[in-house]
Amino acid sequence: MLEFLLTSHPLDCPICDKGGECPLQNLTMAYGPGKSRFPVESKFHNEKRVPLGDLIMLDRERCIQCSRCVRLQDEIADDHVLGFQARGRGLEIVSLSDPPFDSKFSGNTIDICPVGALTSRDFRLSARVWEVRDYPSVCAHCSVGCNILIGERDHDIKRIVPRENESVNEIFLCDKGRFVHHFATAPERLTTPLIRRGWKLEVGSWNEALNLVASKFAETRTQHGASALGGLGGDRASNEDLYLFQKLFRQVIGSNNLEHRVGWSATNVGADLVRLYGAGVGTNLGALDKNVTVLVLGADPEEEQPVIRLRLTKSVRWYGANLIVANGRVTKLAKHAKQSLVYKYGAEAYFLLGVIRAIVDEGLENRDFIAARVANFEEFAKSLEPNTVERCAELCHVKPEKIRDAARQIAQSPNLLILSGREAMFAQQNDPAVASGIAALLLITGHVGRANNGLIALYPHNNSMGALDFGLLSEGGLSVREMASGKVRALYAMACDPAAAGEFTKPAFLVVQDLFLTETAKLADVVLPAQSFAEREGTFTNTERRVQLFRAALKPIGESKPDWWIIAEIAKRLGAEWKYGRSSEIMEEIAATAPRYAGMTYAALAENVKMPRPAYGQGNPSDQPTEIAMGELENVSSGKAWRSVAESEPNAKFELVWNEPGQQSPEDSRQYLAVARSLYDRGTLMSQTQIVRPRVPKPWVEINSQDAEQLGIENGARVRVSFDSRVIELTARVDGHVPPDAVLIPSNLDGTAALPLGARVKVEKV
Amino acid sequence: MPIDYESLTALGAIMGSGGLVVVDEDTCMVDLARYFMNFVQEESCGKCTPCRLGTKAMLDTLTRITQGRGEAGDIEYLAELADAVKTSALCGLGQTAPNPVLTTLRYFHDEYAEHLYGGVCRARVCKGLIRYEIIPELCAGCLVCLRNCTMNAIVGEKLKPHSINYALCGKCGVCKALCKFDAVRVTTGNGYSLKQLDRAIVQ
Repeated sequence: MLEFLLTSHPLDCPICDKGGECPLQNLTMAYGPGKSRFPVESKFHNEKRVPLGDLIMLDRERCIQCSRCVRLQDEIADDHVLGFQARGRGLEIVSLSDPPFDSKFSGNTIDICPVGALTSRDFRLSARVWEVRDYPSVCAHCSVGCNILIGERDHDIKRIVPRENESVNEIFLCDKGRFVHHFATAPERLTTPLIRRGWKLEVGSWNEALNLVASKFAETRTQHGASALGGLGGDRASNEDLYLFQKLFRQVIGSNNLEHRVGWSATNVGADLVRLYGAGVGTNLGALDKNVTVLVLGADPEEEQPVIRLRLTKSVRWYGANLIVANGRVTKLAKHAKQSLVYKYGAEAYFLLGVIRAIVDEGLENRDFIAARVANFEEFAKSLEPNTVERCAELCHVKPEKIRDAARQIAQSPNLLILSGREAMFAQQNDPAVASGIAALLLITGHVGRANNGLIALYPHNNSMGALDFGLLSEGGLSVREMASGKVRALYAMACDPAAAGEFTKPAFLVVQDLFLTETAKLADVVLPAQSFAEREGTFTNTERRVQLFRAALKPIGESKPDWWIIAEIAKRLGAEWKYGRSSEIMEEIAATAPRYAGMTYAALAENVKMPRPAYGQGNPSDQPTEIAMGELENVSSGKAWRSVAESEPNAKFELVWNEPGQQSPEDSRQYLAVARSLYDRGTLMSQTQIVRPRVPKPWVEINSQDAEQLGIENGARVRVSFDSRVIELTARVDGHVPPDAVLIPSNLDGTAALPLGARVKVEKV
Repeated sequence: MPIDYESLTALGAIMGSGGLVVVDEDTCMVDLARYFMNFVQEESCGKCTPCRLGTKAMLDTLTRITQGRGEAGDIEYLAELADAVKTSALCGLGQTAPNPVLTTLRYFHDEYAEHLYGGVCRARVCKGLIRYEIIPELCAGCLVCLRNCTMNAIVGEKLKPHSINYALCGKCGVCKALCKFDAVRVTTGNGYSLKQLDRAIVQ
C-alpha cells in the first residue's frame, strides 16, 4: 500500500511543511521498500497551491485521498464544508462552502493530514519542524484553556499546535487559538516604560516609572484616603498577577476598589454558585454518556468557547449524552439536542421556575438528598405555589408539555450538568431569580458534588475564573463604571482597556500596564510594558475551574516585565516587604493560603499523571480505555481543578433561595436587544494576525423574518438601530435564528461595544 | 461446463456482465488483460488506494509488456499486485479488477512468458512484438500500399516489389488491408522487439 501511495506522491519533502513529522515519511522509513518498481514518468501531476479558505492551503499533488479532513469536518467539527470531487486518480478535495472552508476548526485538518497536503497559510514554508522548539503552554483566548505547544524559533512564534489533554481539548484547537498569536511578537508591543511629561508620553526608566507610581499612590492615599485608589485587573492576566494585584490593593494600599469585568457589564456572574455547586472534579465534557443530561442555558459555545461546543457535539454523537439546549434563539448546538427549547428573552427565570415546578408537581425531586443536605425545601415549595407550569409556560413562551418533558429528563437522569453561558449571565443581571433558579434546579434534583454533576459557568476570557477566585469583584468597592467615570483619584489598569469598552473619564493619576498602547494607555500618566503569556510562566484557571500551568517560550520583548514583578516592585516602594523572585513562589503562597488552591504549587501542577482515553472510536483496538501519560513534555500536567463546596464538604447543608422572577417589562413596539459575541473580533490581539482578518465578520444585526417583513428589511440590507441616545448602522441578517420581537447584535465588532442587554431598540431601514 | 456461481468461481471468473468473454486465437491474452485493466482504471472512484493506484500500476506494467518493453520478473510483479488489489480493495469493482490478469496468468502463462522472453505475440496483436513484411514473390508493385502508407514507410518502384523501412513503420496495418495480392504478412518473434529497435536507432 505504501508503494501504491508513493507511486503518485510527489517527492518534494525538502520543501514540505510536514517533512519530519509526516506519517507517510515515517511509515516508508519503517516498512517501505528502498527502491520503487514504478516508472517515474507515470506520476500524477496536479495543482500545488490551492487556497482552501483564508487559513489553509491545499497541495492536490500531495493529497493521498485519505478523507481524514472531510471526516473531521463532518463527524467532529460538524461543519460540512469539505468534500470530494471527480474520481479515480483525479479525486480531489474541494470546499463546499462560501466563503471557502467556513469552519472554526479548519486548523485541525493540518494536524490530522497524514501528508503535507493541507498546510497552514501562516506557518507554510517558514521553518522546518525539527528546528522549531515546542514549549508547553495554555491558550490565552477564551475560557476553555486549551493546552497548546508554542513552536518557537529565532525568538519568534512560528506556530501553535494543540497539546493532547483528554480532559480539556483532546487533540483539538480552534482557529483563533491556533492562528492568533502574532500579537506576542508584534512591532507595536511596548518595550519601555512611558512617562507623561507635559503633553507627551516619553520613554523613561523602570526605576523612574515605578518610583513615580508608588509616590503618586502614597500621595493620593494620604490626601484622599485609600478608597480614592482603584484597580482594574484584566481577566487575561495570570493567577499570580491577579493574586498580587489584589494583595497590593487590599493589604498594602488598603482599598477594596477592585474589579475585572471591564467591557462586560454583568453584575452577578454566578461565581458564588460555581463556588458552591461547580461541576464535580473529573467531569469530562468530551465523554459524557447517555447517563448524563446536559442543560445548556443561554449559551452560544460555538462563538464563545468553540472547543466546548466541539466536545459536547462529540459526546452527543459518539457516547449518546442527553443534551437539552435552552436559549432565546436557535444556536448551532441546538441541532444536536434531544430537546431544543426557545424561550422568550427576558423570561429565563420563568422557564427555570416552570421546570422546577414540574419536577415538584410530579414528585421527582431527590428526597434523600433534600433530607440530607437541603435546609428549607418545604418553604421553597410553598413559594412555588402560585406559579403553575401553565403560567410559567405562558410567560416564557415554551409549551407546558415541553417543560414537563425537560423536567422529567433532568430529574430522572442519574447525572445533570448545567452550562450557563453569556446570555444566561446577562439575564441574571436583570433578574436574580435566574441564578437562584439554577441553584434550586441542581439542589432539588440532588445533582451536585459529584463528577458529571453541577454547574459550569462559561466565562468570556482565559482567566475570568481566576479573577473571580481572587476577588477582583466590587464587593464593597466601586464598580467598573464608577471607576471608569472618574470616581477614583488614582487608577491602576492592568491588562484591560476600559477606554475602548465604554465611556471613560481619566482620573487625576492613571497607570496602565499592558502589552500595547491601548486607548486607555494613550491617556495614562505612566505606561508600564508587561509580558505576554508566551514570555513568562504562570497559571490560568479555566471555566471548569482547572488550574493549568504554562511555561515561557520567548525571550522578553524589549524591557517588558511580567505583571507580578511590576506589582511587587510597586508594593516594595510602598513599604511592603515582598520577596518574590519567581512566579512559582507566588503560587506557593497561593497554595498555602487560598483554601481552594491548596497544594497547587508548580511542582504539583507539573506532576506526571495518566489520563484515561475513551475506549470507543479513537483507533483503540483493545476496546478498553487506554491511558495516556500527561506531562512527559517539559513537565506540564493536565492541570488540577479545585473542588466546589458541595464536593469538599459532604455534610454541608444548602439553602434554597427564593427570588420572585422579575416583572415582565410591558410589551413594547420596539425590539428586545439580545447581545452575543463573535469568535473573531477586531480586538488588539486579533488585529496582529493578518490572515484571520477576512474571517472577522462585518457588524450585523439578526432579525426574525416576520419582523423583517413588517419593517421591509431584506437579508443583507443596511439598517439603523437606535436606543437611548445611540444610533448604529449595521447589516441585517434575516435567518430565523432569533425569535420575533428580538434582535441580536454581537457586541465585540466595530462600533458595537458596551451594548445594554435587554434594552428596547428601534430598528429601521436606512 | 455448467454455468453456475461455483463452477465460474473455480475458474476465476464471475457471474455478471463481462464474466465470460469468447475470443479466438487472434486475441492476445496480455493485450486483453491490458484492455480490461484500462477499463477498470477509468471506472475506479478513487476512494481506496489499491484500486486507485494499484490498478494503475498493473496497467502500466501490462502496457509495458505489450509494447515489448517487458522485463524479467514482470509476471511475478503482476501476480503480487493483483493479489494486493484483490485482497485490499473496498468494493466489488476493486476486488474483481485483477481477475482478467489472474485468469490469463493462470491459463495463458505461456503467452506472458513468450511476450517477455521470446519477443513473441502469437496472436500478432501487440505492436511492439510484430513486424509487417512484404513478400517479394507475391508483390505486384501496384503502389497502392506505398501511396496509402500513413508513415511514408514503404519504398519501391512501379511493378517492382516494394519493401518497408522499419525505422518509419507505425504498424498501422493499412498496407495489409489494402493489398489485393495478400503480399503483406505479419510476423512475430523475429528479434525486433521495440527495445532492440530503439537501441539500433540510437546506435
